[in-house]
Amino acid sequence: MASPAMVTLISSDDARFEVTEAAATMSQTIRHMIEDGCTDGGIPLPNVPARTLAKVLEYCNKHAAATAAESSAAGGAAAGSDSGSSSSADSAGKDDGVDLASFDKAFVEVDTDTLYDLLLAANYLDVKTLLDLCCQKVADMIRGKTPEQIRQTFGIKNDFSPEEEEKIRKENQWAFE
Amino acid sequence: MESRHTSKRGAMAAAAAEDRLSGLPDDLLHSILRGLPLKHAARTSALSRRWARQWLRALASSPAIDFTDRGFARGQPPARAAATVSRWLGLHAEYGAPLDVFRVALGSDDAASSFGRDVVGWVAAAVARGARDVEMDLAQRQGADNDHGSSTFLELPGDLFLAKNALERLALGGFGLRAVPPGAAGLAGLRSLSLSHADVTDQAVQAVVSNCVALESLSLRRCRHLTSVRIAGEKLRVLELVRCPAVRRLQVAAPALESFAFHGDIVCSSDPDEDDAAAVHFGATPALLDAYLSHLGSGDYDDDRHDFAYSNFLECIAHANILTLCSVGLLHIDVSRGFAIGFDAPNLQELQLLMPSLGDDDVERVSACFEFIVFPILDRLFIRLLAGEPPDASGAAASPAAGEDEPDIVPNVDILLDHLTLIKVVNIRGTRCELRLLRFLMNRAPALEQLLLVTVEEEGALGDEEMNAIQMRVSAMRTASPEARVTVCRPGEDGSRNPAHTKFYHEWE
Repeated sequence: MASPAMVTLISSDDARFEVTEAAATMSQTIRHMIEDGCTDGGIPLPNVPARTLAKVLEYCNKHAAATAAESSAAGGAAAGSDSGSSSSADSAGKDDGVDLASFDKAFVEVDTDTLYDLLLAANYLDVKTLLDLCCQKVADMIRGKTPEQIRQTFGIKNDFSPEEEEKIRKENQWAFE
Repeated sequence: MESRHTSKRGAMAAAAAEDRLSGLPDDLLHSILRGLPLKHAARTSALSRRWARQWLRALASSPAIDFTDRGFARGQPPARAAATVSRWLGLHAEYGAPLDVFRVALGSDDAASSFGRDVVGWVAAAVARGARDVEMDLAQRQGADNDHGSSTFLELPGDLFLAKNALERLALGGFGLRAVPPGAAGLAGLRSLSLSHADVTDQAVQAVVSNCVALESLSLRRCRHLTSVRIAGEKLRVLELVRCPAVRRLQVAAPALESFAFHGDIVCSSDPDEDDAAAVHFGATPALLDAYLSHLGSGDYDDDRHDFAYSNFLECIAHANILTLCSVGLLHIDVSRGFAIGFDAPNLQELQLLMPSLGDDDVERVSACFEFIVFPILDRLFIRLLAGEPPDASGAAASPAAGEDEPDIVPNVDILLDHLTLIKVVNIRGTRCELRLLRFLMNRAPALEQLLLVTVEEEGALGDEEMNAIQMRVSAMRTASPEARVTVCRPGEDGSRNPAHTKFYHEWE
């Protein structure tokens, strides 16, 4: 098997990351840059610091590897050359599904600052599944809380005048009961 | 490919010093808000000025909008809820996002007068914009008691569904459909149709169903003008008839039917001169998996006239794998025994009995049921007793009291449930009759592996001592299966298997 194509990514603070093209192109932004041929000397990502990029790449590596395992399992089954090995690859693929879900869950168990960094990076890099994962994590942290508890969790300052707040609450009164 | 696992930071940092969340771009906030149920999204309006309108804007860019949260319909005047929906639809049209799913439930005693035109306009707009799934329920406030009462319907204009559209699922509650032509092109593509509290005629239902050749699911609830329901659908898999109090005849020709639910009066032939005594006709339904047949909470009935209709009805669905029956039905089986011949439920693996009361009569009816119908492969038996207030003191009262240990009169019925592995009784109190029923069952279930007794909650909840008493008494019973495990637990501790039917129409609303 040929060694996979690699690309170099450069964070805003000039750290360099060698990753497989499969992992890097989970980012639509990077995919487009590669397609446009702007890869010589590494791909600069001026909006993403090394700490966040490392974390995003951890996600991309994991998911790209799982996708590769899945498609090779599917390919093996389609070729039908060896039913024994294809069925074992099949079950490995299934394990990956479970594994991936728990990986995702653990992946966003981070402090809110890291979560925002990930959100913004996933948005900029256009990694849709990671963006969805982070958004849902924030949504889950909002869910079930009163406005006061939400403000406290996220440090949101209440800048309503008492009259404004009263009016808003009245408008959507049903939601506060 | 080695990924570097950074050590996971444990707990969230407590109150963040800086509010970075509010600083996120709008589209990210919207993505977050779309991940919340409507009510929790709406709550964020009170956070700060930045958030006041974001939830509505988030919805305006979403292809699926669901205003069916009960709180939305019941926690505010209908006119205010309607104003919110109108505002949102306006925003959505402005934004120009595709609209796929549009669901609204409003409370509406005065819908027809105050914002009826708005509602009709919403449906028209959603259909015109290519929605696949439209649900409009104006009957949210009208409780179950209103089945027979008078209430208003919002009349749908006849041209609403004339044009072809993308509709696949349509659910309407509280509408009059007399002006809608049943053959309308805009209904022909439906796969699922649900009419609740609708002013609709027998003929219209029959015509709509035969017009919708792709229809897979039909639900008719609280349609009080239906008397004789005829349904023929080649693709129909799911059929539900709930609380349509005037239905006296039912004809179903649905060869693909998998799931059937009927909750209402005993169907019977109301005209004594009618030569066809059987009021229920079912064509062959070889694929039937589950059926629910319950009459709890329905009107009065006359035993002498209705017993045949019940066994006939039951026999039509007895080949299902899963069945839920109620104590009213058991009463009819008991009465029928003298006249009718019993039958087999050859495929039945799961039986659930809904028992609002449990007196000595009821125990005998359960045993009569097992005598009348043969269940050769029954694997699981669920018995659901009445939750809420304890039964009155008439013989069935709760009781680790005196007189308990006298030899029990267990119905002497010669049956064997030799495939039964699980019995689960929900809302148990430990009454004499409950124990009597258990003794009856356990004596006839040699393969029983597990007996689960889930105690009542809240009102009349049992203490540890009472639970231990039940455990001891049941464990001491003579059983056909010495291996059976007996577990007494509270609802919160119950992680065991539940019946397939967990929606109980008599508890509904």
